[in-house]
Amino acid sequence: MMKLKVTSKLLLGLAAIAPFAGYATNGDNMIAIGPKSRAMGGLSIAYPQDAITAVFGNPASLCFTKFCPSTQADLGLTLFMPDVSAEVTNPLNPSETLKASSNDKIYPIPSIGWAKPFGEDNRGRFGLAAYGVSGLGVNYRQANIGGMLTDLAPIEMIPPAFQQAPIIAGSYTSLQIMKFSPSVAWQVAPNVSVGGALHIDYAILDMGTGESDGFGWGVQLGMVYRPTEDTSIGLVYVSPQEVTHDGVVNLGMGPQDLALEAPQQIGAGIAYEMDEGRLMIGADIRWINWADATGYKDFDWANQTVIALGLQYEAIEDKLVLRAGYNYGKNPVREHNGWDGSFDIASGMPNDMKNVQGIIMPTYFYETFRIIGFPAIVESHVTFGMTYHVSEKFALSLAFMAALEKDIVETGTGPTGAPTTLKSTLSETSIELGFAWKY
Amino acid sequence: MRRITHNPAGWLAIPASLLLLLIAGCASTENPTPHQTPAAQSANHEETARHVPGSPFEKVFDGQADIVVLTFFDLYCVACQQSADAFKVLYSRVQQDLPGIETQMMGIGVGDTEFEIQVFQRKYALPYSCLPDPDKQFEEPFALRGTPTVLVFHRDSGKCVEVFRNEGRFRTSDIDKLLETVRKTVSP
Repeated sequence: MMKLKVTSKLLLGLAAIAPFAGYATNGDNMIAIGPKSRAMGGLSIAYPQDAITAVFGNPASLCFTKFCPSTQADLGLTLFMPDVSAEVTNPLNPSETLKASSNDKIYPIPSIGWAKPFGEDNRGRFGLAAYGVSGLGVNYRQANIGGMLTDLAPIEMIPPAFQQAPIIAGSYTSLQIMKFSPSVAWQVAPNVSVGGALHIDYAILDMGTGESDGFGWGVQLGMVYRPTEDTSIGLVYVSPQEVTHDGVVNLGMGPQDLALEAPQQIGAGIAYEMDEGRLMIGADIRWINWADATGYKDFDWANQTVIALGLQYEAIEDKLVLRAGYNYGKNPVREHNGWDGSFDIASGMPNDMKNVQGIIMPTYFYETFRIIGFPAIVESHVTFGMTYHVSEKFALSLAFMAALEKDIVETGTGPTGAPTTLKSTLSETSIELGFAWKY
Repeated sequence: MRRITHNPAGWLAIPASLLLLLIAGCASTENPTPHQTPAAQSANHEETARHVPGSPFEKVFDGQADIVVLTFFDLYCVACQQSADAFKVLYSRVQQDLPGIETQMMGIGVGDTEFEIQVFQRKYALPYSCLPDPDKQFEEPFALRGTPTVLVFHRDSGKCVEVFRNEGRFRTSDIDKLLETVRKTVSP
């Protein structure tokens, strides 16, 4: 028990110091945690292979590897490289399009997991994991669209009511969510395992006026059933997990709170092994309930069905495993067209507004925030990777992911009533290095 | 409003976590599994069997077979379930491919009760006898680190010497390695 306490404190300590900024993949969720799952398009519900993946994918993690009587620790580091850009019609000169690239960088996202068998016949498995699970953000502060209207024209040409107005809302956003998750799994029968995990969420949100953090919590329940020795079926449910960010929004009426809820999810997966386990193919399907999640529903996100396909092949027995995968989730950010983003020139009051949790947003800023500030729009991901077993106790894994370029375009009327087009383009690449140690 | 700042030392998280896990790992080795080498183990087999009636060694080495093949499994172990078909093939190959060599094959259900080994035997139609080991008495004497494990012993001048060990999922490709090892061992 003392060891568990110590390990739990260590993982919490890691969570507190880690720079876990990330970026969108399935909505703003990562497609996977851990290099083995990531290399197979996020496949993890029926066939988790390490401590991190088991806690993220399905806490009912059985021992699926060839030999796993021991405690296992996994470390992962993902280097996430998004490439995001935007185009906005110049509010003061509708014939001109302002183009900008977000000031992106390489985001390091650590993950750590630990699993220990317990109980009669090692039928139980206790796990702990800490990992960055969601992230989203853009930084156009240094770009032309990140400034004020007064940057676009001499101040005397701008109506007085607009002289303090930004060109868009959402020129700087940053959302980061990390989870700390203890989990327990138990084999209720030789071919059935059930499990549960407690999720403790730590989230940081910055909408351009400073960071605000908060905690949330939820549960994850899972089951794995093996109808045959070579087939595995998994089911998983994740409850909604809400975090309130105090005073994170300021639209000129003082700081206001905003709640964001990681949505509930239901997933199912199947994996099939061939050639005595040398070849495995699998598929996951995961429904993410963005449309009912606080915050996301306010910005009109749609539910998302994510499909992950993956395979792995043991190329050199007990030494080298190769993996490949594909992940698809339709862009959850709904396209709005024909919106009225105009303002009354004399008073400076918007002609149409949206209510977001009691925060009144002019429609133009609401739409620019949705499209430019939170462009979680990529759909297709191609992945591959490998694991090399350095020894019986140590293994190194690599995963590469490319999210193919995707854009979203909306049209409406801008602040002056002129036709306006908003466009965001996003693609991503990531490289993950993982280290597994059995002791 | 709670404002926070990023910790510039964030990169330290990775080496720090590694260090922390190492510490946790060291702390967890209070009751280490014995890791005697197979050779060291086999040197003790005859003596243990002779002096401890009813000991695990006595239970499996009481015959006169030149070669003793032991398959250690656990009903709840997925890799054991996946190895069961290969165990069955191994049994028939041992009978067919080792003419002139007297062999004995036995399964041991580590941590399994009599009922549990019957379930395993029946489900996978194992054609050889299996022993229950509910108290895991075989674990330490045979230096087992987990299941499935396949061990082969050669009886030579009254001593049983371990000549083959396979830990983890047992595949049909492992059978040829096992048989080759046996042939080399018993050939003059």
